[in-house]
Amino acid sequence: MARTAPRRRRAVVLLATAGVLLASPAAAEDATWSVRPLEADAPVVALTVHPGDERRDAVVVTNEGDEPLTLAVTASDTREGDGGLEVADTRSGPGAWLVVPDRLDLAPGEEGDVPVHVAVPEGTEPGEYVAAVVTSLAERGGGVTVERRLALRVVVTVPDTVSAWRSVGPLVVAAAAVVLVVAAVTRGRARRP
Amino acid sequence: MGGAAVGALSRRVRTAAALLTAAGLALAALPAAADEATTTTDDATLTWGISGYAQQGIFGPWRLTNPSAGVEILTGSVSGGSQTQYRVDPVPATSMPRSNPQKTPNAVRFSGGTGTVDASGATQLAWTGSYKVNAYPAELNAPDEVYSDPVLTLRADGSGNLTFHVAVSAGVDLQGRPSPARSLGRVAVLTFSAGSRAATATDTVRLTPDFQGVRVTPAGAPQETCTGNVWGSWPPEFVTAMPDSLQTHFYSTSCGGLQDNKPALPVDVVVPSADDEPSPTPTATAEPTATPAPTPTSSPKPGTLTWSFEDDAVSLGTAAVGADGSFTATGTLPAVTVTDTRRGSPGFTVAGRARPFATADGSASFGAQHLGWRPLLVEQVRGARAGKEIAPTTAAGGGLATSRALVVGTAGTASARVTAELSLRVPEGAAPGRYETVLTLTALG
Repeated sequence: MARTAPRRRRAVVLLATAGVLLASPAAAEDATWSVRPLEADAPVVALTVHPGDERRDAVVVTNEGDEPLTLAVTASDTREGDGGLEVADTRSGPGAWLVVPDRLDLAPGEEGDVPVHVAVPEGTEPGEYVAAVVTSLAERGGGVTVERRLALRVVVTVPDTVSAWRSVGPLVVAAAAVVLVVAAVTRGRARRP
Repeated sequence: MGGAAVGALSRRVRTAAALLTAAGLALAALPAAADEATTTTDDATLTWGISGYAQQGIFGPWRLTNPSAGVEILTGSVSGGSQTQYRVDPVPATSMPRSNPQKTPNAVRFSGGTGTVDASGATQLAWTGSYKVNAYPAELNAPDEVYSDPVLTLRADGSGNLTFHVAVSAGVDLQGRPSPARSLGRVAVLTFSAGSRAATATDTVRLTPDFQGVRVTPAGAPQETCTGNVWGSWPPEFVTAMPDSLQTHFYSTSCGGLQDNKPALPVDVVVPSADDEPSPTPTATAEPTATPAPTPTSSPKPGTLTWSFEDDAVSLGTAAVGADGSFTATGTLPAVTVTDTRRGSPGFTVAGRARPFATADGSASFGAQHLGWRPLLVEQVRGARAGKEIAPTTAAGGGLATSRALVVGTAGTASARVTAELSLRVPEGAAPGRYETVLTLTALG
């Protein structure tokens, strides 16, 4: 008897699992949408923003399917995953610099803009920072659901202001000197009758 | 390497002791001479990412090409690759340019190195093979640098050098003037000072090359003297032997700009312990199924990253008792198609992660580590590769509880159609009930 009890319990689990994992029948037609930067020729949203400065850009989303589409929109950090760059689902890094609207409704074939507001905090170290704008198809209830999210990189370059000035500085001085010399010469000539 | 050698020895000692015990012999004192023994290897590896400057360059990362047998080019995320074997912390820890998330460098790896490491850490290792490096796009016809047959020599205190046979091909310099081919012969490309060696893992040491404060008198403008944190040169004998147009890659040429990226990156050296298992062969990419690929229904517009998928529900079928008595269920992820028509196709990834399985009333649950998958490319496409197979496990954070790659499209990949075989091992003792989960697939391009 001691041996049959576990076997009976296993049978119950078996049936329960079967019930669970038979997913609900296909609920949707092929759904499909696309993302691209506002600047049509660019592969990703790329911005240069100085610390303490802000910029506006946008991600263009198109409903390529035959059904109306409601997408949730979020911003996130990215990280190097086991296969490459992936959405980190955190907002502790550059993802926190982005402000995007919560959602986007698109009719079949419709194209819509997701405005992206990027504000880089004062004191940010120079470097290249990669965040992402994430568009996700709202979940359908029941069964084993697959949530679909399509994200576009937002590459924020924070320039090294100090070094830039250090290298440009001598040029500025030289240019100013040239201007002064030219001004002096022309004035000298102008004084001549 | 001293750490590696000592570790290897102590393990060997333990093995010997165990064998003696098993044989029923008394634990005889081990010969004292063993402590002074020398590790001899024929499988040492040397991995090096050149410099932070090489990861960024002026025209993009330097091109590493033509690896001979025994040499491997590891492509880091700076060039759209995904190598994980050589990582460095960014400036100021090393000369690696800072980014967020931190990019991984390109590197070269020499394998099958032969030589010795004695108990004091004194090291003599040699590798055969070569690679070519060029800091410029091919169309500029800049000279190629060919580095061959490295030899690493270290004293007990960690000081020493890494020499290569270096040859530079003919080409043109930055002003378009011809730059004749030259051979530098064997030259110390890196030198190390005492204390430059640190053990980073079992059998692995990391060597930090000299740079800071080293003065060089290059052919062009004399080296500017700066008071910054990073200022110096690679070994002057190496720098001055290079063609004039390449010398500036290896020393501080100005006090601003990219000087932080000039120092050589650390060198990782692995000398496997004698009792190490041979390293497992890498898992082969999943073979495509025989099913012919249905063509995507829509043709995406130019300049977009598009995806489409069949439906949003996964059927895992009926759980069945496996050979080991566990309950397993399998199913197929509906195919996902990613199409990238953006200019330059900068690459994309699709990653997946599952939430814990839970009953609708929340009374029972089990973690998503019990769910695994085997990604499959529906058709082999240039540049695309399926993610690694992830087995269901009982370990927290394993399986699909953690984000896993479904497909990686490296730069230039136009499209990829991917599916996955899902497998669930229902944990022992799971309460009967109806469980639900959500599998989140995220494409990032």
